[in-house]
This record gives sequence, structure tokens and C-alpha cells, in this order.
Amino acid sequence: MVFQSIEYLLFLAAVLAFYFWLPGRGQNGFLVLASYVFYGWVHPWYVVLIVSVTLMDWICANGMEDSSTPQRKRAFFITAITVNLAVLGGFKYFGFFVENFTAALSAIGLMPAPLLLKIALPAGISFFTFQSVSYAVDVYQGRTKACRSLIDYAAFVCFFPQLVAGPIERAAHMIPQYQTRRLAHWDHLRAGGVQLLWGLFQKVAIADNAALLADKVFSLGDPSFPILWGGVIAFGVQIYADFSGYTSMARGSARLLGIELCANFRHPYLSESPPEFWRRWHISLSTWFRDYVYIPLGGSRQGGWFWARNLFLTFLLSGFWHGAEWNYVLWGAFHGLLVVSWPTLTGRLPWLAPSSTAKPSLSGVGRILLTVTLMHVGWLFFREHSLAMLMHQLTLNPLHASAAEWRMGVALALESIFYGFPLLVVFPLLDRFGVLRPGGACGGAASWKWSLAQGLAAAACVYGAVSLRCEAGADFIYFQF
Amino acid sequence: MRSFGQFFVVLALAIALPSWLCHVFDYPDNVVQGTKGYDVAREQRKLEQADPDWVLIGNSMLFTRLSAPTLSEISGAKVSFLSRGGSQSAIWFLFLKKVLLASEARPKLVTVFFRDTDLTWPDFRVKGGNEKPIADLQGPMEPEWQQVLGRREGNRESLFGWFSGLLRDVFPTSDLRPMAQRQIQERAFRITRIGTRANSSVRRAELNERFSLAHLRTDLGLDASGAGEGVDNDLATAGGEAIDPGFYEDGPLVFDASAEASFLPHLIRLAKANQIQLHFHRIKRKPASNHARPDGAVMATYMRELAKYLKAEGCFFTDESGDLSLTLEMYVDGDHISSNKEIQKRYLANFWERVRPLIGPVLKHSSAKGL
Repeated sequence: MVFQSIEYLLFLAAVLAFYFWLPGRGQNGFLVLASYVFYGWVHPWYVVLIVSVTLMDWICANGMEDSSTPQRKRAFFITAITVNLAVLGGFKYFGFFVENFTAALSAIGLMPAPLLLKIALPAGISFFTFQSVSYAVDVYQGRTKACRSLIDYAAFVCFFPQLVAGPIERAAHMIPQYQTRRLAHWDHLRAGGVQLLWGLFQKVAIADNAALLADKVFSLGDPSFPILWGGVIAFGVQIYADFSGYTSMARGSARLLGIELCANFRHPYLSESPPEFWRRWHISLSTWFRDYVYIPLGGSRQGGWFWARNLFLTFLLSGFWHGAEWNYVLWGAFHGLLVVSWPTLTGRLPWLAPSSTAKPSLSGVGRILLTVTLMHVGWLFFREHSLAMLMHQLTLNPLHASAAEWRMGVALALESIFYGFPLLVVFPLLDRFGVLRPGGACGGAASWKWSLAQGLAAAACVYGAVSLRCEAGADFIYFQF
Repeated sequence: MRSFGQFFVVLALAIALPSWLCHVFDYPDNVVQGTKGYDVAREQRKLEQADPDWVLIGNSMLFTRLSAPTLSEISGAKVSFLSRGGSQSAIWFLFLKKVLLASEARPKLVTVFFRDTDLTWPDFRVKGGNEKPIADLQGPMEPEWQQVLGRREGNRESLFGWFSGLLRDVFPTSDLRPMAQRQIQERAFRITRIGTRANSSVRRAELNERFSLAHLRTDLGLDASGAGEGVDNDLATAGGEAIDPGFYEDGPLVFDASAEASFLPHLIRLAKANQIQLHFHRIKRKPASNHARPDGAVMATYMRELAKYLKAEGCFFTDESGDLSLTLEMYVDGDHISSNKEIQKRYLANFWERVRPLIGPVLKHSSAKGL
């Protein structure tokens, strides 16, 4: 079930109709049931997988907490991590490794019997297994208490608004919310509704229209330099609006249910450097990798070469997390190199260093443009799955394109930017002037100005969505991860 | 609660007021040609007055190629068109059932102009700008519609269809969508017009050409025959332009003659029941520079199956897609033929030569003279 469908709106309305009448534990049980219906809507067998993983993690976490010896605790921990990674690896990476192993053997003259195993990738597997891994690590390290209630824990793993594409939540943030009864609150209803509509607008009016342009460009066998980069810019708009739209709808849906999810984006295309971009883009994943990969690897404790290695490896893994294909690995490596080399570059070119004041400046605009350009080079790696084609695209000569092709390329880029204008320009401006937060320019949550602003924003989103909705709607990009 | 009440009142007013104004001022129907409704009674009256021997049904592929008066002149038969830019098989079915057969006109022959897989792609262009004319044409849902599209959106007698119909009533601006998207593209064209005097239509044609079949990559599993050809070509008629170049990536790949799969069997059944000879004419889409527009393997199989089926059902089938005398220079934007008089004349002669042996005998028994 996808968020931008009528099915989902009816489903959410049905859940809301019963949810607030139930007692606390009943609310969680109902949420779990609803989440399994949501998850199993297309493939009911996926529910078996998520139930098994949930049950196993719950047993292991409680086993860790109740263990009398460190060895026993460690055994439970290793079991939990191994099972989660095996599930992720089995479903997501098995085919990739078999394919590459076979190719490597063939390259040295050995021709192994082809092992064909096509496994459908369950939606959201990368998200809920990462959430489960973080829980196991947190319980093992004593950062969080094991959840004694299986229902509460199951709600944490399978909560339908964030089950398929995040944000990747932490137990310490979510489980306490499940341990208290959620009451219907008009403010939640208002704020959640507006956020849901804003997400819907981003998806159907921006992302899907930009996708139409990007998909066309990436279906060309002979793109010229300007057309290719026009398509890459369209993809840059698409992926941001798509994922940000999904996250807004997830957070809006959760807020309607009285649950607060973490923010995943903070105007990433206004970043002044690649490291800053990663503090603003897919924040829940970036912080997950920071806390569970980068820091355990040693972080910046030993400095120099070790810091660079840890950072690079973290980005490489982050790329691989996105998909079992080489282009994602290259994408991760590209960003790893950028982030690792950025301090050195900043040392040599001082204007690259972000200014300490929040005042807008020309050099700040230059840094933003440079960062956005670099991020879009990354999007080319992300979008193009064929390595041969990628190499061809990277070697295109801008001088070989005709004037007509330059006009086409720039027109394609402009068209996608026009679609993205509300997200790329209007939204950050409103945020900067405090229009989006209660207590800001429009007064407190109880003020009539705030109600007016929210009411108009909601109506604008609805009108925008129905008037610009792209008929050729596509799935959310992050569903495939 | 009070603040939510305020919010709700603002939201309701902000939605209701523009919606009410749109209904009062008949907006955007009066600015978007493509979303105008369909006056069934007027069309029926026109048909009855014309009392045609031959009715041709189709979209802009028909009315940019042929005109009723010239066809009347060359064939000697009384000819009428039932056409609408951006229409597809669902509307063609309704043209036959709700306009032609519901009128007193009884032609001997009905020709349906189509492209590639149109005839078995029932949900192609039943939404957006075509929703209103479909609602006007259909009235209460036809049983055939229920059988073919009953479970799909746009059908008011299903829950989802009712909901989407309601949304359309509340938000008439949804009809602006094709126009708004076109405007956005035109703004981009305008900013990038440096060094060219080409207008938007030419720029769009250039863009469509750049994204045409010949430029598609081969490693993505795209069927050559079914590949689309443009970034904006799924827009129905807008701003008076006949924009209908087609978008064939999502169409059916296999010919299916079952009654649930398409309106084709229903068209045939209705025509037979009313003693009307049906003729299907496949047009040639814009060719490459060598003037050829070959079918890929999948499309060739589809067409063989279609031809076999139509023959078995006693329908005529003509196909101009392999005709090299229909050269690239004859085409303008997308699959449309140029309005140049010489080219129109060439096309008409070509068309008549092709269909005459088949349809001549049928029209002979009508009031037509000169065949």
C-alpha cells in the first residue's frame, strides 16, 4: 500500500477511527495488527518474515538483559546481530555476491554451474533490520532497556508509517512513546494533516513530474552532455521530493496517531559543503551509520589516516546499503572521497570553509552551488545502474553538443526546477522566516494567525497536488531499498 | 479545540471558495478545451441531419489526416466524423454506442482510426481531461464499461471511482493539469530560446524527436515497437492544439480478445447487431529518416493476432504503417500529418487507394454515388 493512494487514506482513516478509543496496550496491539495488514497488503508472506525477526530480536534483547554472565549476554547479542544481518544479506545481497563470484570464476577460466536464485526483496527490509540492529546494540551496551512487552516492541519494529522507508528510529526515542496511552489531540490532528498533505504534494506534484523527465533522459542510448545533466538535475529534484515527501507523509501519519518521528531532512540543497549535506540529508541513516559503524570503527579518535579510513568505509557501506549493485558502491565511494578530502581542500581554499555567521553572502551562494553540483555528480552514479553506460556518460564532451541540445538540456533542468520550486525555494524561505513553526512569525499554536497559516498551507498543498499531479505516478524510490 | 476549529474553517473556506467560484464561472472548462464536456444530443442531431453512409471514429490521428468533406468528395458517399483529440478506445466505444447507435442515423460502414495497441488498451486516457466527456457520454455506467473497466478508477460506481469523481467535483482545477504542465514547459522553452526563433510547438517537436525510438538505449528491455517518443506527449488536446502523439510504453504487449480485456469485442458485437460493417485502420506513426517505421517483434506478433481476430469477426483491417510512400516530410509534431494542402491531398489519395477495394462494395449499396 503506498501513501499517495486512496487505499492508504481510507486505511489511515479506518485506523484513526478506532485507535483513540482503545486503552494503551490495546492501541499498540491494534497498531501492530494494522501495520501487518499494511505490510502484507500485496505480499502476505512478508508478514511471516517481519514477525519472525521481531520475535527473535525481542527474545535476544530480553535474554541479554536477563543474562547472568557476560558470555551469555554476548551470545544473545551475536545471535541477534547475525540473524538480522543474515536476513538482510540473504534477501538483498545474496544474488549480488553469487553473480559477482560466478563472474570472477569465469574470468579465471573456471565455469561454475550457474546458481539461479531469484528472491523477491521484501519492502523496507533495510530499514527495519537496521532499526532492529540498533536496538540490539543499544540493549547490549546498556544505552537502552530491553522492552519487556512483545506488543510494544513489535509496534516499534513494524509501525506502518515508517516501516517501508524510515525514518530509521531508535528504541530510546520510540518505545517510551508506546508505553503511554496516546490521546486524540486537535493540535496533532492539525499538524499531522498539514504534514501529510505537504508530503503528498511533494510526491505527486514535484517528484513524479520530475521523474517523467529524468526517466526519459536515462532511457536514451546517446545522451549528449547537456541533455544528460538536465536529466541528472531532474533526478536530483525527483529523489529529494520523493524521499522528503515520503518522510513528511510518514511523520504526518504518525503524528495523527500521537507518535512523533524524527526529522530526516533539513533543506539539504542549501548545504555549503558535502559534510554539511550529510548532516541534512537522510539524517536518520547518516546518524545510524555514525553511531553503529563509524564510531565503533574508531571514529576520529586516532586521527589522520584512521579517521579517513573509517569515514571512507562508512560511506562505502552506506552506498552498499542502498542497493546490491556496483553503482551504489561507487556512489558511496564518491561521497566518501569527497567528505574525507573536504578538510584538506578547505585548508587550501579558505573560501570553501562555511562562514561562522548565518548571514547570507555571495561566497555562501558559491559554496551552495558547488555542493549542489557535486551532489548531482553523485546522483549520476546513483541513477545509472549500468557501469558501461556510466563510463560513457562521464566522458561526454560538452563541446560536442549542438546549440539545440544545450537548449533542450537547460530547458529540461529548468522544467524540473520549476516543479521543485515550492520545495527548493518557498519551503526554506518560509522556514527561515519562522512561518512553519508555532511560536514563530505566525504566533503560537493557539493563535488565529497560526490557524490561518496552516489552513492556507493545507489548502495550497491540496490544490497543488490535484492541479499538478502527474498521471504517470511512480513508486517511492526508497521503497526498493 | 478552538484553534483546530479555526484551522478547519480556514481550510474549508480556502477549498470551498475557489471551488464554488470555478463552478459559477465554468472555470477551467472555458479555458481548457481538452476538458470540455461532450454535448451528446447535439452530436446526435448533427448525425441525424447528415444521415451518413460512412462514419469515421478516432482522435487527432483521424482529423489531422482526413476531413469529412474531402472524403465525401472522393468517395461519393456521405461521410461524418466522430472524433475528439486525445480520445482513445473507451471514448470510441461510447461514440459508437451512445452517440451513433443512440441516434437515428444508420451508416453502412464505420471506420475506427487507431495507432498500434490502442484498440486493446481500454484505460488509456480515461482520466484527466477525458473524465468529463466520458461522464457526459456515459451517463449511468454501461454494462460493457463495468465489464472492462469496472474495477478501475474513473468509474463512479466503484468506491474509488466515486471518491475520485467527488474529488473532481470539489477541485475543478484538476482539469488545469495538462495546461499547467504545458505552461511550465513553455516557460522553460521561453527562457532557453537564445539563438533560436523556433516556437514552442517546434521546440516540443525537437524534443520529441530527440527522445524518439531511434535514440533509446537497448539495454533496458524497451520494446522497439512500443517505445514512446517524447517527454510531454501524454497530454490531451490543450489550448486548441491537436496534441496527440501517443505514449506507448505502458500499453498491452499481448493481444487479448476477451470481453474483459478491452472494448474491441464490444464494438464488434454492437456493430454486428446493428448491421454495420466495421473497418479498422492502423495509421503509420512518424517514421525515421529512411521513411520506415518497422514493428519490433512484440508489436509484429500483436498485429498478426489482431488482424487474424478482425478477419475472423468479419471486420475490415487496413494498415498503412509499412507504407514507405508516407514519408517523413509529411509529418509535423508527433504522429500528425502536416496541414499543407499538397500533403493532405497525397495522404487522402493514398488512404483512398488502400481502403477502396475493401469498403467500396459496402458503400455501393448505400446512397453513395460515384464508386
